Amino acid sequence: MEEKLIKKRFDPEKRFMELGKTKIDLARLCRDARGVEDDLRQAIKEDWGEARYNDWDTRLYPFAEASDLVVQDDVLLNNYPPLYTDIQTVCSDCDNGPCDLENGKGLCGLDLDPFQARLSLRVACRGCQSQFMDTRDLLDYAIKEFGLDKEVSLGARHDISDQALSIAILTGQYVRNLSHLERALAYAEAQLNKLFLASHQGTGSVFDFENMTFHCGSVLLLVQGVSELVKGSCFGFQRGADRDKLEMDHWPPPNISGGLGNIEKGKPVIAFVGDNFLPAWSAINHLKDKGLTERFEICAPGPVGLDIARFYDRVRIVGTMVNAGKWIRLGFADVIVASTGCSHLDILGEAKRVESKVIWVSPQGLGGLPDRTDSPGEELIDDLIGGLDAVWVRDVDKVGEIAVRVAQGLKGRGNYLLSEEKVKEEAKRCREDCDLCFNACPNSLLIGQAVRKAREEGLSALTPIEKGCYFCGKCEQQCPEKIPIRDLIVAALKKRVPDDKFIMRSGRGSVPEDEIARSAFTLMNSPGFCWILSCGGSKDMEDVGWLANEFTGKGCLSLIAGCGAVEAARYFDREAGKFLFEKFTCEYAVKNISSLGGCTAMTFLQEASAHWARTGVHISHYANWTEVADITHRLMAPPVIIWGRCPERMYAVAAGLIRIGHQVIVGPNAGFAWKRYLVGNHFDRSKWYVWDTASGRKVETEPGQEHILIPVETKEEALTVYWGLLQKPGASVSIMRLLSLTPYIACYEKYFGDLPDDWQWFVTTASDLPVRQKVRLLKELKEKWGWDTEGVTIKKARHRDGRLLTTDEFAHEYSTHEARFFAKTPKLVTKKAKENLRKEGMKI
Amino acid sequence: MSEKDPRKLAEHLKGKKVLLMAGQLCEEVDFGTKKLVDYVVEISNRIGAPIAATGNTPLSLKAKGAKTVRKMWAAEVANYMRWPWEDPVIDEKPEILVLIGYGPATAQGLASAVRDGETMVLGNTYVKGATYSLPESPSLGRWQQALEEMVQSLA
Repeated sequence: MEEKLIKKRFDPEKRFMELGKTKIDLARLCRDARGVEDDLRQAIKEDWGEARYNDWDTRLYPFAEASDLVVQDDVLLNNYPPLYTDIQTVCSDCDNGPCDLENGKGLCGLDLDPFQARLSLRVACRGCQSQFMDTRDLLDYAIKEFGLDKEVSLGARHDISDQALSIAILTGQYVRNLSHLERALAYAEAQLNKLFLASHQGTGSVFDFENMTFHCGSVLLLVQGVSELVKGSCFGFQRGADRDKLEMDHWPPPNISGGLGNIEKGKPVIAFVGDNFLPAWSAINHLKDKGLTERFEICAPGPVGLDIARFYDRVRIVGTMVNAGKWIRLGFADVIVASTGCSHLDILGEAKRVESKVIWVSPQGLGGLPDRTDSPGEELIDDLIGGLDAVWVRDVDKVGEIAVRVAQGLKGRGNYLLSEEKVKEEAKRCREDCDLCFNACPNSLLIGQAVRKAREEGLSALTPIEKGCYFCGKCEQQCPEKIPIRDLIVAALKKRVPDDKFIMRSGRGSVPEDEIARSAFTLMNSPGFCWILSCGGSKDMEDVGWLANEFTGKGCLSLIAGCGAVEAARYFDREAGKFLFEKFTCEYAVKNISSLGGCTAMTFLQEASAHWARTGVHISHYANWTEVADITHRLMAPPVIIWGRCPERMYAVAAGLIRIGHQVIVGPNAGFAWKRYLVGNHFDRSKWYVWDTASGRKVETEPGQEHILIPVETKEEALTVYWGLLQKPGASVSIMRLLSLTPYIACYEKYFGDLPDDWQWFVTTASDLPVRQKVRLLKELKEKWGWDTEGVTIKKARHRDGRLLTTDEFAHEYSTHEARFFAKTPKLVTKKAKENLRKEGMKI
Repeated sequence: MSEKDPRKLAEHLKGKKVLLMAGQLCEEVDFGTKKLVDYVVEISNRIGAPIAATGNTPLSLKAKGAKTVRKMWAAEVANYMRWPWEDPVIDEKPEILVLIGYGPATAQGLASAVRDGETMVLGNTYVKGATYSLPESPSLGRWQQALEEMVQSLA
């Protein structure tokens, strides 16, 4: 039967190939080649080692389903069992319900915990939708403009070894033109459909649903990869991979002027809001054609601003997407061209208040606007200039010119901002005995106290809450006096507009393998990588800049993507007199920080991590999720900080990053409201093991990478837990332990006044210990933990099982010194090691 | 849980193994005459309960005279509640976690995640995911009053 299936699933001409002296049968490597035999053959020929092929049981899954990729998910979910929040006990997902699952299984057989997992999957699916839709529109537009044969790449320095990893790892495709992207996106859309269905009708186990939630994140990262390839290949987005790698320490230059204070007064202002950059592309091309670029201000919050910056350096990035409502109510824009995005926003309502004109471009309607896509452009321009508030036009080619000409034709707008006197007057209505606004505020801002203070002190009293407010409006809903709190906040924002200026670098796009390999030589002088994502909207808008400065200043290789780059850019080092992106250079190396780009550039974080499997261990990523994820998780993938408001999209992104091996720290408030945490338990020794891949020997390790998804409350907690998560069995070189243990202990003591409770488990030799603390810590090891030390050396170490071992014995029995190459599951050891394990009775 | 009277909530702590959790709002909420962190210390000292100090609270809790304080991460505490207890902040698994200093969404997330044990939230809003919770306080003053009543009832 198998032979019959193989004939159906593999082109007989392409099924067999040679690698060195070894004959390879693709049908032994994968169940179904899904028509990508040529790509798999090329990847094997160029990227595989013959010895590795012979030693390991590699399995490839082209166009993988969630259930194809269970090996790594099993490792993760076993070590970090999901902890669900906000438990819902009643399921009403079908017309047989409602079923109260606290009283037992539902009519479909679903239990309470799997139901929570199903809800978790649902959040992830919802989080994917807007970016899937936007990417579909973008790809369709590109195909229409350039044809399916249009070549695509991430830049000249990419080749088959590192091209579009986020796509190749799931599909096996070597992406070279738009038709490949069409197939990749169709695959992702089909996956999302299946996942959505399961999120409403699935009756699997917790593992089944979480496997699908992870998969949801993986396909979202794939879709972001599709979007980035189209942007770079068809729309002129600048890319570091097209530049000489030797110029990357200062490219792209810090030449993007951001902030509301940099918008030149007197010029017409067009703002672009949402995920879709095409209307901006169209408008800017029109301005360039007419020689008008210097006479207009093009502004954008968030992801679209970061996209525009990659092809138009005159853009003013005003802030993050979740804060867009605040900027709009400030009235800075004459015309707003809006599309769907990550955040819910009453664009029509906000724009109307300040007489900004809205052009809505997304496929679905907005606020009952009639679809006027086919109306003549002149008519639309006349209507908007003549007094119409908004139009819905789905034709992005048309929208650019309309936006420019409407902005040109408007005669000025009224001033709707509250004066300082009016703010004081409104503040007087605030009741002494009421803080319902504080209760309602998702950032727990002490709004009432600030408003009461404003009665005397005016706008300056409101500045701290203005900076922490992302304009959700819940405070106003609760206020019994109907005080227009958000108008007060916008008035406070207006006061600081002149100082709201910063400089940033635009996104560089992907990181090619030659830079990744080059950076390897500097990493021995660094605690590690630092990756930050943020959507803005945290209680203190300066957190992200503070974190980026701390990590990069301490020698990390820092990458940042999405709206977080805008927040980081605001950090100003007074001593150096420089903004963050001026202070640090930007190559892919230690003590450098790079912005990768807008929201879709988050995919490059996964790619930069997973490339290490190819660069360091020579494992090809084509359809080879399991091996790559195993290596990425235990060796390279650093913790990622996700900071701020965190719309549902970030839930899916986090799932994808976790699955490839990252640990996610999410804060300061939003993470606690996420549907599940994935936290480990360092006291439970049964969880902390690796297998020597050569022999199959099981070795206990330190509880490194203790959590893979943990919410934190403050930036200091984020910083400290980050250093803690850098402890990992993979860091078996003492210098790497020293470099990560030093800041971990220092931060813990500085911010919390004690030694961490787990530091002793990360020590394997005296040279792991921070140099300045060595004597003190050795004393602590001796007196508190029962180690045998003498002077500055360790004579005998205490194993966690209580035995006192010589250093040689300890190195053999604890951590990875003698496990030359190891895996977190016996399923990924060599064929020879598997034989050993079977002889010992393990079913594998 | 319908019980919202602070004095009656105090009754629920008596005779139980209590672990207090102090969150970052303890550092930020100032009632004028006292800070939120002061109430954590008072409750801890009155009932001899240790404090899992989350956020940046460990230093100020110690400075205010709390006797048993240990830095922990809030999600860790909720996680440990589903396994055999090993963290040295308290010698056995707590029967009840008392959360102070967490915003409503954070408290709801944490309290609802605790499956093997009771929770009590002493916050400014009612938290439905908790076993016990103070009611919605329309003002900081009313919240402070509830905390005062709670503390006095523990005497």
